[in-house]
Amino acid sequence: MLRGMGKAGCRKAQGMLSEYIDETLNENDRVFVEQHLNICNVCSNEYESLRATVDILHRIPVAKAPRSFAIREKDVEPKRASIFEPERWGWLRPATAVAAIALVVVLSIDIVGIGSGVVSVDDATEQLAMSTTQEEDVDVSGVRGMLLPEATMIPSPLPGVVVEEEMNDGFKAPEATFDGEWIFEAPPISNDTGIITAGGGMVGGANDTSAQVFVDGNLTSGTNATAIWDYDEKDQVERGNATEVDTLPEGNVTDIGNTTVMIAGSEKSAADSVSIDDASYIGEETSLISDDGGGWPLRQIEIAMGVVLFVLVGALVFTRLRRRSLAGI
Amino acid sequence: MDEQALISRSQSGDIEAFNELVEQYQRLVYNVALRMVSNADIAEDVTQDTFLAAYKAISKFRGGSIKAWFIRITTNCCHDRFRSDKRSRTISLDALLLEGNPPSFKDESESPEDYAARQEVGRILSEGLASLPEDQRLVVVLCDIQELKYEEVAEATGCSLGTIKSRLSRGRMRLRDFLRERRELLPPEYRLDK
Repeated sequence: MLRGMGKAGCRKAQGMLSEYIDETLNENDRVFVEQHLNICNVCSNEYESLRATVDILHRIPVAKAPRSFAIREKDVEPKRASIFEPERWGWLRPATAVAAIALVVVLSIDIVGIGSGVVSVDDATEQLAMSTTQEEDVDVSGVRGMLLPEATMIPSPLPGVVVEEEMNDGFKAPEATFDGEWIFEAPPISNDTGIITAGGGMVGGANDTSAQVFVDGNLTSGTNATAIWDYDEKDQVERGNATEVDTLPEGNVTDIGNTTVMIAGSEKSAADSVSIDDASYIGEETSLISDDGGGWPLRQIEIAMGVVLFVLVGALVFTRLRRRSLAGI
Repeated sequence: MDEQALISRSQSGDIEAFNELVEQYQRLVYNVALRMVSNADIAEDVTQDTFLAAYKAISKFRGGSIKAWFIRITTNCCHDRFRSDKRSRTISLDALLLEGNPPSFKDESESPEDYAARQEVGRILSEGLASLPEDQRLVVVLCDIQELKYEEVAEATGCSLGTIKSRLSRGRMRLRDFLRERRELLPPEYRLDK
């Protein structure tokens, strides 16, 4: 059999036809292909058709560049991203998520009513009362809506005072039996400060170093009281002054008879001992609260957060649409 | 100024020097892009993208053939184009059929009939090229249309010589088969089996 004949020879020759056309075969392979093509019509036809194909391809002219592709300075300057470019708003999604979560948290707090961050009069009063069971000064100046700045309630060392609990307005006085007396002390800061109430109404205002205590509705000492407070219920704090003492409803002042009350360092009580059923400080005028149930402006916070969330969602939708528009979708 | 000097100055940020390189290679780059994407408009975009990308990356050029380097960037840009636009293959084929970007042939003195026949051959050839797998098409374009040497194609594609030869052989055979199947559509002088 002639060299290069047979299927194996055809396969080998056909595998080298492309290089044979390009004249890149080594001498041995070139001779083999040439000999095979001389004796094999099939491969010879294959070669001719392949050669013609390559010829056609070679006849395709090189097109002219339709324009200059020179680079311009502005093409390679760093682009200043437009404010509307979606890439600049990558933070929107996490910000929206955070705002949504924050709003949910605030709404939950509002609905459940826990830890609203607002100290109501009752709560603050209770805090104060509880604090007074400890023999230390209580600095409650930070309690909003309550108390005079730096006002303190100091357990007296005198024996025999029984402090009872529970009052009509929800205030809880110290539950412990206290072996001493209560001294309500308010710093003589100004005419507007140093106000004490006790019981459902009462009591006392401070004017300089003097203050008044009302027992059973009667002014027990002094005549220069400047403020009388009637703490009726948590939603209403009424204010009076010395001239309005008489207008206080009877019974507002209760169970003060057995106490010694010191206001601004002056002893104002006519009694030897006292059972204070409830007592609370109510702060100066500027810190009085009209507790409308929300206490803090929670509603305003919720509304503000809702507005922020709405804006964020709007911006997010806008950037999405713009991204789709740029993508040509 | 010689090519190496232009490259050095381009690497220092000299845009004028780089544009001289652009001037020198834009025809090659455009033609490779045109044969790869088979659409003149897309080929223009790819060419511009190629030179922009090349200018930004020229500081990383570490010698060798700048021609092969440009071709490599061109093929990458073509590939990116295919990848980013799933419809590009369809578009290119449609463009061939509807708009027609057939390669014109070198014959200068021809009759209107010859011109029409030539246009038809160009259309079928473009269609045939578009039907090849991307890797084979690239090698056929570079070897048979741009007439680059195997070594240059290997450098431009990052493939071995053996791979280039193999792809070229398979690509040619595939294209031959494509033309055979459309034998009746071709003018007699372009028919493979006479």
